[in-house]
Amino acid sequence: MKKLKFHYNMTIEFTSPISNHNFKLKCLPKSGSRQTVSELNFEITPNVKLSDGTDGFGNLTRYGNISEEHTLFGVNVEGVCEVNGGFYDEDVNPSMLGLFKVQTPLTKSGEALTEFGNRLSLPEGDNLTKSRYIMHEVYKHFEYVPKATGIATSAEESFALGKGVCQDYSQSMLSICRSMGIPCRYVTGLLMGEGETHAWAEIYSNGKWYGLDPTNDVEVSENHIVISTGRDSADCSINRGIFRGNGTQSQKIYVKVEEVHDTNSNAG
Amino acid sequence: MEDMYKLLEYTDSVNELLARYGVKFGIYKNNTFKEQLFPFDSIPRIIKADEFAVLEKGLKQRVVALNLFLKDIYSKKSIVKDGIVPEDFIFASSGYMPQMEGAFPVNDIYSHISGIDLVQSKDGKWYILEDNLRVPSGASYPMMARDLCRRSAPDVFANTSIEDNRNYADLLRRTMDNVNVGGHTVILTPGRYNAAYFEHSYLAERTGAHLVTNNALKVEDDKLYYLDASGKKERVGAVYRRISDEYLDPINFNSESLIGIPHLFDVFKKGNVAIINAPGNGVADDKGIYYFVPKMIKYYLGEDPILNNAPTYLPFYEDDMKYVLDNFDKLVLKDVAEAGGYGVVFGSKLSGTEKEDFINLLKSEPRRFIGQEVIDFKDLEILDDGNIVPRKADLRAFVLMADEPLVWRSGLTRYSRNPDSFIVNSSQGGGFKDTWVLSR
Repeated sequence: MKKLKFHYNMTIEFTSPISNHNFKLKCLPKSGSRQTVSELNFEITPNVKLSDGTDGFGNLTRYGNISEEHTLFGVNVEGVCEVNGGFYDEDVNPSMLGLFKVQTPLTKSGEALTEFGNRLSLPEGDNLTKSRYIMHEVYKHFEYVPKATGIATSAEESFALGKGVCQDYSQSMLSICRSMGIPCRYVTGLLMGEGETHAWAEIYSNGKWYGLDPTNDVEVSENHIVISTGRDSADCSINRGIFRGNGTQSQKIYVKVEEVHDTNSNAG
Repeated sequence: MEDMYKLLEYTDSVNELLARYGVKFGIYKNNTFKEQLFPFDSIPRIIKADEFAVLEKGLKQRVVALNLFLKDIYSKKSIVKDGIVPEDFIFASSGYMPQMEGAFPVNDIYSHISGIDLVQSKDGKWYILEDNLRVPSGASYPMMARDLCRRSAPDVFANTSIEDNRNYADLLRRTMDNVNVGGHTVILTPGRYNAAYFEHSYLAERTGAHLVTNNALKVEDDKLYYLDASGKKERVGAVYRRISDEYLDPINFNSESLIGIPHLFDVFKKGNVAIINAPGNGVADDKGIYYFVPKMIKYYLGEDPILNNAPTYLPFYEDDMKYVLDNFDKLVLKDVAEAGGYGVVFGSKLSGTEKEDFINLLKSEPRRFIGQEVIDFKDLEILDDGNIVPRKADLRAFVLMADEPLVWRSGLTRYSRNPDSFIVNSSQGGGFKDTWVLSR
């Protein structure tokens, strides 16, 4: 078990004022058998009254409306999360797993992914063994290049390009796993260190979910905090909003995760 | 019953009035949207009291089971777990909405208004052709036509014992009130340029609900409010929405929607407003799931289905695939993702290469199609250019889930104008008739 202190900050600046801004955030890690959120501070700019809810996947949502004109929208989340490890049991209805076997428009394979999948010689074994192999192959295929792809880029598009970021690695891996009949889902989360939000895949094997991080070719460990899970990146958008106004927007994201050591424990 | 032919002389005048009231519908043809009149044929379809009593029982049974199925699919999924419906037919269905997981509509009612399409074969047996559980339209046409016919020829109705169909508004009101969580009831329309605007305004007027577009509704603090002309806001307890799921709420569904209400779905999920019909019902009314409805009735109610499906084969199952390939020429093949009479192929009408191409497609995407025996529909008489001629027709029955299931004792009878066509969908240029259910 590791105790992680996390900080997520997002600011969006608009070149001209916007109003009637409706938004829905999925930026709060939830507690469960994998991790426990023990401290949480949340701030929003401009400060408005918000509602809390959950989505169809059980992710925490926070949403509201800013009717006044504003040129800056900011979200700041700080807290502490105790992470038990990379794989976990979850009270998952086995009949729900079918949802994670179906391709979505973002994971649907085209020529590049299909051909790649056909060439793979999967090892014998359980879903985890096969998925580890797929992860490694996806990792080798991609070159990590920021800005080569966008949030709407599909797995097939990025895979054909051979370039991308964590979203592209993860969705390509999901696409291949699903074509092999392995139930798997997309994860948005935070990774130890400083930078941006991260994404990886979770695959279902022997009654448990296992996190596999194809961008780093590693199994997910106590260094990852899960924020949300879904079929693809669209299910896990951190911020979804609509507003009235023209002009352009620029978004900045800052993430920091570090381990905290309780001064009183581990005395021996 | 010979009296009904007296209505023939009013065919033109009733059609003129319908046109003046704006009774129209819109269709997509070659990718362009066209509005057209929905021609009314004055010879009614007549269903005897005892015959309709059986239909009524069977329709209630079917819609009760479909509602239980929707509840099950969006919660426990027992019917999948127990192997009755394969998961492929749930999660790959475009009508399945994961947003509905963990959402619980008031009183567990998902399909408040169901339009069930039936046909009668030449031997008099009724078959269910399709369930419509999203926003089935069409009840206003026979209501309106009945009204105009009664005014034109009151004596015809004085001499005949017919169930009055003008009570549809009362049934609808009862259905909406049953799930209203407190506040106004509104009918949400995309606006006056929508082809079904006539029906929206007509039903609002008849039920006393407010007819609104999204501009008159606003979400605040997880509640839905109606803003009247003076800007005063009042709670809304039920929304009978006449816009499709994807456009309901740009925050939770299609963000491009300009006709929806941001956060409406969040209010619904908190239990602070009823949405009629609930989102996500498409998972229960596609042509693939249709095959399983008789099994659902057995599974949830422990009863034998009172009304039968048209004999249907699912190429997804090997035995059925074999049957479909062996009997290709006598079957009709339907694409499960299509509606409105599109994606329907008669095996016998395909040329050699078309048939080959289709079979290849079928083999590569077996889940996408169903095969059905062609039912020899009973013809109904219609007036065509001054002559009475036989044409194929179906019946859309309306089943409403209020404090108890209710079947409207009438329905929309649609007929094909083309003598060779079995497709009676209004999108394909047919007309409609009133449906008389005899009261004794």
